[in-house]
Amino acid sequence: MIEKIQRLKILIVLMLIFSSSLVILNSVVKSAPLDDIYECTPFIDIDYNQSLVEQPVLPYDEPRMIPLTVKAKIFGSQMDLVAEKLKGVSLIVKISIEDVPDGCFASINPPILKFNATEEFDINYATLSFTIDKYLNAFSIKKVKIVFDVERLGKLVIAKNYCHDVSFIVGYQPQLSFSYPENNVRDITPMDTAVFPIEIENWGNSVTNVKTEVVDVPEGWQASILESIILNTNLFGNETIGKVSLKVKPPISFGYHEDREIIKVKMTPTTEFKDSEFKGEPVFLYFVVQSRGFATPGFEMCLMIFAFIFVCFIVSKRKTTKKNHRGRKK
Amino acid sequence: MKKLLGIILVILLVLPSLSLNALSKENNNYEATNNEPTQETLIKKLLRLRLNLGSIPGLGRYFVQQLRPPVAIQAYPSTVNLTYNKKIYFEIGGKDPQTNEWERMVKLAGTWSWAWASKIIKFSFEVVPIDNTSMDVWNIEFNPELIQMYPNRYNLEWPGAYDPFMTNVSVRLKPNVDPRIVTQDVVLKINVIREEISDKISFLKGAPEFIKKYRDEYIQKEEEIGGKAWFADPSYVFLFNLFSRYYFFIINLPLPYYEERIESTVEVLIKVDKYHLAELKAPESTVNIEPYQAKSVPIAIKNRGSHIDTFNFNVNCSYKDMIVTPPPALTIRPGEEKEAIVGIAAPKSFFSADEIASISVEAYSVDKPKEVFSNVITLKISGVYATGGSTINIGALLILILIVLLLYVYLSKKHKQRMKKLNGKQKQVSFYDSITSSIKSTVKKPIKIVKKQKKPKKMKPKKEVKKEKEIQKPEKEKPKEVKKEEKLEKEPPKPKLEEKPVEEPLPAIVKKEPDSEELKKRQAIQRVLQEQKKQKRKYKA
Repeated sequence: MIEKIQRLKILIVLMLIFSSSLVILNSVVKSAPLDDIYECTPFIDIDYNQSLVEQPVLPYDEPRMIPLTVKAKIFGSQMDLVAEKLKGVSLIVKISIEDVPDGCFASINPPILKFNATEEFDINYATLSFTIDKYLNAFSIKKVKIVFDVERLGKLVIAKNYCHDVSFIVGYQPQLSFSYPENNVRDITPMDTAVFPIEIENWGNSVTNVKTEVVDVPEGWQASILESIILNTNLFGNETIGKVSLKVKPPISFGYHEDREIIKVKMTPTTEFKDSEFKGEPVFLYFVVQSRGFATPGFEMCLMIFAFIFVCFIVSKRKTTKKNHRGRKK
Repeated sequence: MKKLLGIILVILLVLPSLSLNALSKENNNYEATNNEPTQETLIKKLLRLRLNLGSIPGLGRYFVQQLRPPVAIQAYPSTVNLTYNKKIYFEIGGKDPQTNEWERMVKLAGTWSWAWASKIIKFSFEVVPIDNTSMDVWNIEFNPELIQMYPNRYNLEWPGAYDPFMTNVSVRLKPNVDPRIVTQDVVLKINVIREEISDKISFLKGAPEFIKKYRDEYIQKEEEIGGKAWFADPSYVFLFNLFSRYYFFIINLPLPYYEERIESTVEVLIKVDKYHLAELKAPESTVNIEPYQAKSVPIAIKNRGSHIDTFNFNVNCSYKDMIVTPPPALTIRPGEEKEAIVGIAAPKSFFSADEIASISVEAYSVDKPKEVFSNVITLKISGVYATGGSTINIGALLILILIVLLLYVYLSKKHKQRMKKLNGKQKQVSFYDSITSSIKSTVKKPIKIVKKQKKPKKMKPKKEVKKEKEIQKPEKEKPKEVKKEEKLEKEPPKPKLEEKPVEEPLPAIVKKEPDSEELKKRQAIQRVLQEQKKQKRKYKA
């Protein structure tokens, strides 16, 4: 009986020893004492063409796509053994966008990358796409935050997150709006000057210097306009409307005139950043000026005075002659 | 027995210390490997042995639950451009990175080796609501809506197993009812949902039965999808039937019979293209314009597009020589209306009777110049325009000269008439002078007077002028006036000079010779002579 009990005890002890050794050697629970020796940490790094992000990204433009080279490896005290053990098993990395600036939209694909769990960098590729759908301040630097979430690989590779920022520059988007408060047609006399007030509104994402120029001025005509006007951007809540006036003088050569011309004004939005000038597409404005009437030489008043004196002289002479006649009649 | 127990205890006690030593040494080893590889130490060998002894069951969620590596489910293409009211298509699924072909459903379901433990495996798709955007404007459809597979443990003829793991997605975006609300670019998130009805008890039944009949087919199919044919190894089947089936049963026991979970979330960057639409409202009535008149015509433009848009304009006129200028570039918010001004200048024409012309106004977005929105302004040209042009000006000048000439002629005539009247009086005076002279002579030579009295019938004005000249010769003070008078008298035509009033009194004088009358005349003549003398004196004075 005692022998049976002893055998049972031995069996229980053996069972305990076997199970405990199994737990130690074939660990499922974290508390296994040797787990830390083999535990490796994944490491993720990215690389991309810097020139792609150095080019400013325009609001409302087509999505900017940046190919990313994602590199992954494991490191730890026994990484060579672990890598050997994990041969053929993939290190799973989930990629997602953590944060984007306001008005910016981004996605990254593929959402999962599989790497060989090696001590050397294994390379894979992903594409980051983003757009700007809002007027962000031109030339400001914005960041897209990408998160690489490495999945746990049993007890050998721990789970870890890595964040990487991809910076880009917001491009300058010029956008102007014009209006004629007093329309764009004038009927004047040759001695008059046609004045056209023009209202310009800046809808762009930067302080804009609108350079104005009268182009193809017809012969004999004179046209002048303020060379440039600086308009604020409404991104900072400033007044964005400016006014300029175009002054047109028709030909004033002596005689009767019936002149009509179209005056063309070119307006180019520009802005400056770090000693560089950024230009937008020029806009052309058209004005019709019609000049009708007599153009006098300018000394007509003198002529008038002389003529008046001359007439007075004749009239007085005639009067004396008439008097003489009457006298003779008498 | 005791000895065995002792060895096990020693190993258990020694191993932790060994592991601690290994940590420090292996770190040194790692540093050394960077320069030159060293020979593997005993500890390293022991560690390798230890690592290889133990299996690694907990490799992660994929290995525990699905027993397969994950498949990257994503959108193809990953970025799409979307325009209002236009359907766009893209695909969602998993592709083999090597072959770039769609993965088979069986691979995502758990491969031929493990999927048999489920009765049904379904994949469906669900759109994640977009923040700050009404989903009413989005119309997203999946085709197929469901990808499903019905595995079993008896054979390899699983319905849906070879279906490509993909779905076609169609997206249509409608404009907001309120045009001021702009749908911005969006990252559309689509959840791939996995539904599974598992057969946990099937694990207890041991290895799948198809390996007995279709072993080769199983190996081939597993290779096709890039999986590992675990059950192709008889030892594995033996061990599975002996131990692992229980282990798998226990692992899957906490999992529900029906499970629904998000397998993956696919992100698609949707670039909402600017939807350009402008409504041009031309004046309803015809615009009247006169020849050589310049005027501006306002035309309303409303942005019915999706974004703040800048519109530029083109103008074309059907009427020749009509000058038309386009309005300036206008930037308009969605739903906003602004006024664009078209400048019109009609050509010169002397007379235009309700001529109709049309001006085509075209608006286009600066971002998409090829997409044009147009309307027509109708013009009615009517009126008269007289001035202008060198020909007309020369004609007018000639007419002016003609008028001046006529005026001059008229005035000179009038002046002559006045002068004649004046001359007539003078003639009368001169006639009286002649008479007086004749009278004087008659006083001396009465017969001559009678003769001279008969002469006036034949008298010509030239003689009278000569006499006048003779009379006026002494008046040297104003010779010019006299000359002028003479000229004036010379210039007029002859018939007008034969004035009757001068001739009429002569017969009366000649025929009638009453004494009393003659006396009266003589008295009158004397008075005249006296007056003439007085005048002469005055002139002399």
